[in-house]
Amino acid sequence: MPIPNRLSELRQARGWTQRELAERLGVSRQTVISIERHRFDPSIPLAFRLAKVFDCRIEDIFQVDDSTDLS
Amino acid sequence: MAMTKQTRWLAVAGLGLALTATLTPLVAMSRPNPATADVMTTAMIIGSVAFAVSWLVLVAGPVLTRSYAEGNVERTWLERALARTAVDVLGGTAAAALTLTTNDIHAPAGPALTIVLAAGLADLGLRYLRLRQS
Repeated sequence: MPIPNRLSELRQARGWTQRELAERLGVSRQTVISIERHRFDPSIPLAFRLAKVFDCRIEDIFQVDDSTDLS
Repeated sequence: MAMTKQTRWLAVAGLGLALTATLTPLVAMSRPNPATADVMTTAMIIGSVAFAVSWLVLVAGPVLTRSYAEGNVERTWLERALARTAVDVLGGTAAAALTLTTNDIHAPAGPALTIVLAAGLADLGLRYLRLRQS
């Protein structure tokens, strides 16, 4: 079960398209789409890249709390 | 100019067909008096590999071989599809070998291996597409 995230919200707040974000991250557009739709958990290096691109912490993008299913 | 998804898949079909049409006669003619069945088997082997290579070069390659490929969801799909295909091929081959042995059936090696190759590639392609759609 992928971890919920705010990627779409953060991307749109900056006015970036999915393709622009993918280019900034160095991944495919399909990867961005899959993460935004909560179908794919990024690797740890990609999570750090996301945090760097959005200039925030990983926890600000991915929302994990006691109720999150991490199985 | 960047290729659209449709033109990229058309290019895969075109390249796969071109490779098959070019290489099959060359390989088939390397044997004296090749039978039609031999040519068909050769075409299936070359065709399976040609289409797989075309897909890798034109569709998956740019995504799977870039510097940070492991971060891409396509890489995950391919790894999962490969793992499941390996199980299918191993299971299918074991079942086929058991059936042939217990029933004392003698199958020609060329066509038999061609079927394994073609079925494995088709299985891989279908599994990848299914993961992509899910």
